[in-house]
This record gives sequence, structure tokens and C-alpha cells, in this order.
Amino acid sequence: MKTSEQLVLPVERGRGRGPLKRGYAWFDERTGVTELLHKGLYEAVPEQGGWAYTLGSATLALILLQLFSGIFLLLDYVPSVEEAWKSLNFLETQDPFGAWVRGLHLWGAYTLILVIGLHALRTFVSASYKRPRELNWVSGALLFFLVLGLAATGAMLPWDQAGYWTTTVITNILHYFPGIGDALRQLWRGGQFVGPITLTRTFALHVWVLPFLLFSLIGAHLYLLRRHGEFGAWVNYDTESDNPDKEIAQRIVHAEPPYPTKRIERRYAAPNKTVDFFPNQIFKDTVVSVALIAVIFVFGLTFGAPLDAAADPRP
Amino acid sequence: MSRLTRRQLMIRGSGLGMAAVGVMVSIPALGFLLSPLFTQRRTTWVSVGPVDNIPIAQPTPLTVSIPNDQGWPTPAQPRIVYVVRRSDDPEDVLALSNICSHMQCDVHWDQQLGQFLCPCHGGLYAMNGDNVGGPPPQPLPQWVHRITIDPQTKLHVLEIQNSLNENV
Repeated sequence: MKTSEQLVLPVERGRGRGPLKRGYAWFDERTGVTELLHKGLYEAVPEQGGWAYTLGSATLALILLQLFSGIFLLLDYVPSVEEAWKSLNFLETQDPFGAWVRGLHLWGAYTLILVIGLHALRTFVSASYKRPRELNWVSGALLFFLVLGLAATGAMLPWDQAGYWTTTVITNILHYFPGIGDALRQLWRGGQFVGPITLTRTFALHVWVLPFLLFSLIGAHLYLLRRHGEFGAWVNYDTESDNPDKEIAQRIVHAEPPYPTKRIERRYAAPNKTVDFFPNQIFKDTVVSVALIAVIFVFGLTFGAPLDAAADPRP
Repeated sequence: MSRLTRRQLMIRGSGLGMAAVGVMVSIPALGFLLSPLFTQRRTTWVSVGPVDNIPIAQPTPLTVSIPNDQGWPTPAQPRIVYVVRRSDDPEDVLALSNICSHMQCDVHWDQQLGQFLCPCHGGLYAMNGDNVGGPPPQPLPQWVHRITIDPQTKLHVLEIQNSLNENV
């Protein structure tokens, strides 16, 4: 009887076991962490094409790498026109591990933008953006713009020649906005020219405003993914028998959550075969993310991140 | 040894991969975090001035701009050096810091007490820097110092390094 098992309280499952198991049972009763883990790990995903679906998790892994390396860069970086360049020049010349972290942050950013492009291309080619998944695409596109915003503001912060002129040109773009263009440019710059306030405002955008929006939207993006399920690609919806209608009906009846997807053509409501996310998909995800991070690890050390001459407003 | 199933291989492979990521991101980050422990300090000598005219047995606070020993070039910090002449010999000087050995508050020479007094917790030091009352566990630290002779004026010039002679 299944019901008898459900009547056992989590804390009773730990009775008579070792202290670790009892401690876990105590914690589990109060947090429901096991249920949460099961919900997170045992989600059905299409069986075929798993390697193509690793790009989303790789994107997330790289964003977390940016968060991590970015937090560490704050150990040294000073957002001031007097000291920004000096603080980074100190890293490049005196603190090899700091220069390495800076290398991780730059190569992580390059790789992230590349992987987002591939992720979007995969989604486009497999038509995963179709009803009811349009907002997955829209939120993904917004996420891409936020990442581009982070890349642009990040390029300004070293306050070297490259950063200074990037700042000048990008803040100037705003003034072509009809009507309020001048005001917008002045808001970002903090005045008529690029100066100290421009740097502190750009810094605020880069480390708090854009990341906050990014992580909020990542939450929405992942919620939508879990709600509709991974679409995969058309290969996951092929029928084999002489009676495709019957086969599809069977498939829908036996589908595991989150399938069948509502508001979609029956043929694409549930994949023909699914596997659990754990450990099948997570293994592939891990392989791809590890490979990408290994490349960033090596490139960050060998090539690092360039630092131009200090900013000079004379052209 | 039990047979390794495909499932176990994937689980262990994932765990191993995540551990590899942990190692790869930790090496640069920890090296960066811990760099102050193995970075060379930047030590320099700065001149405090001639000591010949400083009264004997009268701790005299002088303000000296002391260069920072860390990071990129930044403005020097004004700090106090208590110059104490102990005898007629101009080389017989102490270059006491005003950093209390208890909690590193600023001590000052109290003329009435004839002792250095720390305002935070009432620590007391004798004229030679010995801790004589209150919580301080050690004497006042001295700046690393030396006396040089000015070739023109023949005066005895006190120079200090941007370092204390011991950890407090």
C-alpha cells in the first residue's frame, strides 16, 4: 500500500539511524528539501538530442562564473577616475592571481556571449519558441540585451583609453533619442562631459542594477522552462506505428509532468520518450560546462585581460 | 567491486566535473584573496628632521607623511612620531609610535601624569614606551629608524621607515 508510506513523517524515517541521517530527517521535516531536490532533479526531458540542450545550462554556469569572478574583482577595483586604472594596473603588474581572475571575467564574458548566440540559434532551429513558449524566447532575448549591457558597461570600468572612448561613444548614442536625448545622455554622464560621475554611475549599473534585473529575469526564464517542459526538437515527436493518432494519444496519456504541454498541437504535446533530468541531462550539462570553464581557466591565465594606457581625454 | 552502471557513471562523472569546476574557479580566486599574505611590502625611508634641538627627556610629537606600504601609488598618510631624547647624545633617541599595543588607539603624552595615556581604555606607558598601567600587554612599538648626519649642517637627522619594529 502506497498510503502507509505517505503516512510516515520524515522525522520518523530517521529513527534508529545514525546522527547524520537523524539530523537530515529533522532538517527535511522543517524544510522539505528532499521534495525540492526531487522536483528539481527528476524532471522529464526528451530523450534524444540532449547534447544540443546543454547550451542553456552552460549559459547559466557562465553567468554564475561572471558573478563569482566579478565579486572577487571588487577586492581590488576602485570606481574612481583617479584610481580605477591604477588599481587594475596594480593587479596586472603586482598581483598575478588578481590578473588571472580578471582574465576569467573577460574570457568568461566573451564565451558567455558566444554561448548565448548558440543557445538562441538552437532554439530557433528546433522551433522551440512556438506557442506556448513565446515568452521563453522573449525573456531570453531580454536576457541577451541585459548581458550586452553588462558587457558594454564592463568595458568602460577599467578607465583606460579603450574604456574611456567606449564610454564616450556609448553614452553619446543616447543623445540621438528623439526629444529627451540630451537629458538621457546627461543622466548617464552626470553632466555635459564624461567624468567622475559617469564612472560611478556606470559602476552602479554594472554591479547592481543590471545583475539584479538579470537574475530576476533568469528566474522567470527558468520558471517558464519548467512550466512548459523542454521542447527539444521535432525528432522527439516522430511516430513509428501505422496509426500515428493512436500512438500520440497513448503518449499523451502516459506522459510524465510537465508534459503534455497545453495549448499546443497534440502532435507536439509530449515527446515520444523522456528521461529524467538527473542524471542523464545533468551529466551532459556538466561535461559541456566543465569544458567551457576549462578553456576560460586556461585563456584567463595565458592571455589575461588587456589594460590600455590610462584614460586621456585628448584624442 | 560492484559493476559500474551507466547511471552511476553519469552521477559520478557529474560530481567529478562539478568538483573540477570548483577547483578551477577556486585557484585564481583564493590566490587573489590571499595575496596580501605573500605580497612584498613596499618599504621606504622618510626623514623626520634634525633631533639636535629637541629637548631632552621631553617626548615631542612630530607629524610625518608616511607612504603607504601596499597597493598602487596613493597619497602618503600623516602619522605621529614621538621623538624621545634620552641623553645628551643625539643618537640616543627613541622613535615611538602613538599606536597603543592594546587596541591600536592613539596614545598621547600627558604632561601632568608624565606618562603616555591611551584615551580608549586608560593604558599607560612610561617615557621610554614601557607599558606601566592599564590593559596594554606590550610596550609602545617604535618606528624602524636610524640617525644620519646631514653633510652640510652636521645635524643629526632622524629617518624612519614606514614599518613598526614589531607587530602589535
